[in-house]
Amino acid sequence: MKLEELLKLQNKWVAFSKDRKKVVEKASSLEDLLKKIKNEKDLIVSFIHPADKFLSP
Amino acid sequence: MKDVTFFYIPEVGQDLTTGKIFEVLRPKIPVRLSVNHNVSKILVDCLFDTGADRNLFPAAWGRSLGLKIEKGELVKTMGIGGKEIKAYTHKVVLFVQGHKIITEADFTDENNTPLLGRDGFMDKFEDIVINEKKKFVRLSFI
Repeated sequence: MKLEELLKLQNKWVAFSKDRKKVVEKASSLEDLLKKIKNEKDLIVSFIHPADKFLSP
Repeated sequence: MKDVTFFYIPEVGQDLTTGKIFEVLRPKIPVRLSVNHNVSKILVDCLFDTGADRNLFPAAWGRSLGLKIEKGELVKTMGIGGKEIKAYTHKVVLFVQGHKIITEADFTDENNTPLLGRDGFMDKFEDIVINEKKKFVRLSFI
């Protein structure tokens, strides 16, 4: 996936296809995303971190 | 011994001054969660975090499988910024590329980044290789 596309997804929870090439669904919270994809199988869910912050949990 | 290798996942970074965007590669492992015999249909990318003492997952993930989060044992955890987070410990099963890991995880509403920590994840493997040059994590099962 191109960086420009990922930039539009920052701060969102995203469900990708199994090969990670396609965005199947997105939402502002994990709870909302899981409701949207409750009938889907084997998607990969990922939180897209804000681009302007490094990650040090 | 069986190995599974996870190449770092490309994410996006942005320079605050110039606005220029760049690639940030992060060690994330897709994990399938199971609680009380309810197995998640989806996988969630979890950060492989050698700095994390324990596994820390978003509460919403557990709730989607029927977990009563607040019934777990209350624990407190602290991030690098010193912020204290309340979490609740539960017994879980994790599936990593089909390999079953019986362990515990702490669930919280206060952290968006699912973390795989040393106690409860990394200690379940015979060997772990982190190759920062080639950007992969290799887990070796017993």
